[in-house]
Amino acid sequence: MTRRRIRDLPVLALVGAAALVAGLLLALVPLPGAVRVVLGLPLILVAPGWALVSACFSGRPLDPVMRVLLTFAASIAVAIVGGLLLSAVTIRLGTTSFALLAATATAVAALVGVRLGAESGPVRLPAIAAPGTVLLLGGALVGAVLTLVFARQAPPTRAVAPYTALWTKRVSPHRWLVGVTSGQLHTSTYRLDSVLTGRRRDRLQITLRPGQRWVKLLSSHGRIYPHRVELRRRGSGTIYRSVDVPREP
Amino acid sequence: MTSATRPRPFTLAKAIPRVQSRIELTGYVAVLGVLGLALIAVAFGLGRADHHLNRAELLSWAGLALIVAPAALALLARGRPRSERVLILVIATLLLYGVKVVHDPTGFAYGDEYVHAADTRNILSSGGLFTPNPILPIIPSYPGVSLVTAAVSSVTHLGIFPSGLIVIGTARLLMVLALFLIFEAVTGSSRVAALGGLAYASGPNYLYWTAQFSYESLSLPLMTAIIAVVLARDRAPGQDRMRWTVPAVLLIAALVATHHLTAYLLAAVLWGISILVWTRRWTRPAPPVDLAILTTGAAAAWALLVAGTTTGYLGGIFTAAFKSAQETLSSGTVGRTPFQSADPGAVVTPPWDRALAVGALLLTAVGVVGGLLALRRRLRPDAIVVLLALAAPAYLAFYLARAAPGAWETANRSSEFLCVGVALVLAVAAVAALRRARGAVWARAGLAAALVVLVAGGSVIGWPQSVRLPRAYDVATPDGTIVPQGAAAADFAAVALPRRRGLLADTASGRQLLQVGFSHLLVGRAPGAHDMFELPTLPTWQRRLLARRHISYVVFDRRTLSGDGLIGYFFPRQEDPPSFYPASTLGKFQTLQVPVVFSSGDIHVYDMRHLYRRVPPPRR
Repeated sequence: MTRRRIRDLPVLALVGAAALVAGLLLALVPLPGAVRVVLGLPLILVAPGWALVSACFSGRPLDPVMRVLLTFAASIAVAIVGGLLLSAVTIRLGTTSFALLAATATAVAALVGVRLGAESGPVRLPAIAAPGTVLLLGGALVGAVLTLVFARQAPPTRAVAPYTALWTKRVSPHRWLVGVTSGQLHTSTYRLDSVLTGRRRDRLQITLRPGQRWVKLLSSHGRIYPHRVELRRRGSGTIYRSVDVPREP
Repeated sequence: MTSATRPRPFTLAKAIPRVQSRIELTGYVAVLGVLGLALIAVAFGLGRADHHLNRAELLSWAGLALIVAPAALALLARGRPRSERVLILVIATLLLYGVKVVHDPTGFAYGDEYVHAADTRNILSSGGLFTPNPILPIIPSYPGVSLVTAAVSSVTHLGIFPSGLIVIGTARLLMVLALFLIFEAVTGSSRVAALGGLAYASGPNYLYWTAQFSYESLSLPLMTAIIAVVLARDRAPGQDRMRWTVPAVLLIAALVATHHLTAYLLAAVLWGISILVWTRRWTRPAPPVDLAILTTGAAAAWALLVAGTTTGYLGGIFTAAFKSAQETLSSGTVGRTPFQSADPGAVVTPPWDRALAVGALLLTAVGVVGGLLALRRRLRPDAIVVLLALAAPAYLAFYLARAAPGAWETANRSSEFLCVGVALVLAVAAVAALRRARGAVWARAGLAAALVVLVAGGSVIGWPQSVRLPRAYDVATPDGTIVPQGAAAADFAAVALPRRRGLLADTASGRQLLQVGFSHLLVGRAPGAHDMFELPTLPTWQRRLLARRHISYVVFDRRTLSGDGLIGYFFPRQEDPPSFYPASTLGKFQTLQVPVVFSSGDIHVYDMRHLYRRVPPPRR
């Protein structure tokens, strides 16, 4: 084994071993979300393709752009083809199977590469960019994140048609749910009447903020059909919404 | 003071090269591009707030110009290192993908996205594939994009939406790297290759459609990656060809399970190369017959054994397109007029949008002619170049097919494939023009401006303004945030209706119900569903249909906007023409005396269960 191989072999072997460890951790240990993202994204989208490409092109020069392309493309392909194979042998697709699939594919490809005497290629870090460029790229990254945060903000109100939703659900012969969701632009107060066989049975006063939901379980031991629920806005005598409690659950 | 000691006047033109010598172009392109993205985000914010829409649109064009123009200027420069060109191209691509991300930053928004998200959710919840999809039955048969997203989501515990964004973002990266490698292989120039990669953004579907969470958004990058591998395999020495075959086979297998039409197109391209080379007029690349046979066999086997509905699905689309084109040709009238919506109350296209679209079309035509002439002079004996060159005029010809209403979709969807050829030809034309102008600054500025017009105009051609500027989904009020009525109806269904029950719904409501886990749906324009919203009565045949499909609830949104799979999920804008289904439809349900279990003003949910007891038996 040449000196170069001794230097380069551990990279491929290390990636294979790291993928196995990451796969086992992700499959078996309840890790925090951020750790899962840091370990999981490279495990699914980078590691299998990188190991496969390293094994396939052992000792051969490979254009860096092509290497990046094949790394991502092959990783995606491993997820698709591996998922199909798992499904074909009726293994449940989920956290464990996907994590172990990616880890196993990476480890096997790395093992094959090592067995074939593959070098991972001379590991050359990209040339360090000028400090000014690094600063500009870093600023751009921060700017992109801030832009995304800004874009996710809900816009202020302007001429949106408000609404209020009223619904019912019978949960058992003598109990039913009533729900109100406010899509109004301001805090609103309603009067809710439960009208059983033409006579008012319950009267409730509800105050809801915009977007707030209200649900209440009501019950009756007597006759329960026909049964309507009516909603009026405060200060208004006219029915704003009305729904029927269905005859059966 | 002598002339030697007199300080020279400071000019920006002199300052910039000094700074550039210390700070590489990449940083400037990234910073200006992010500034452009921020402008676009502000414009989209105005769109959501339904405020100053015309100004918002101009702002979005300014933002797009800040992304495209610096990148184009940097890529047009001579003598820059290849790695810098690739990095600039990648940055521009990611920023252009950012346009879609800031367009819909909180959730999926297009009709197909809802369907693919539901397919991914089915994989995660059932642990298996091929769960039937009631809205687009073909989708579960091609689970590639759903599988990768499910893998990312389940391993990282991210939601389906961020996982989908990551997968499609990675696919965009694949696409541009593959285009770069293909163009570089056939032209031998990293400048043409990088420009071509950027020029691909001029396609009408680039900014939004192919950036959505959909199977085609992944399949096209996989296909271009396979072609890049085929070209690399061709250049490899004989003993190394097998090494390239391994990833090619893996990628073909993934592609076949991802999208039907792209797999067929790849087979056609591989056979096309082989046939062109067999004619002996072109000598490169070596005929990829093995991969052509593999792709054809795998795609056919998949369609026959797994995705049996493919033929019917594609047959329906192409038959409609062909018939519509035939009718348009035979009648001699233009079925669709540019910049005219079928809806008489729709907003008129602003003049700058028209100018951008016409400008983009003219520039594409001029660029294609110029590029083809330049290619003819420097044509290498390469079958890929021939195929790409043929795609460019075909792309222009397909614009004519947009005039036929039924063929519009086929013409529009073909653009993302044909645009690969256009991108190469435009890049060749740009470099040839620059060479003729001897690299003059005005020529570079003009070409960068032309590319901005191409990208912006392409987006105008592909999408109307009503869709390009996003609409409000979450609306902030001083006391809280509200969501549209459709979302409230879906929330109600999730809480109150059993998932096993069948529901009939309009296009937008149906997709939102799919999101909350309903799988027995009769939606939109499906037979029987549309009649429910249009007919003033409920005829016996329809009652039988509802009973047969086990439809227990009808979700009826009286606004016709709900039939739009792109904008039906959002709060309507002030400019939207108020349009409702006939009042008789609402009256039909009152006449039938079916219980209303949900009401939000425009949306009602009717409990149809007791109706079936009154359905007369079918005649014998």
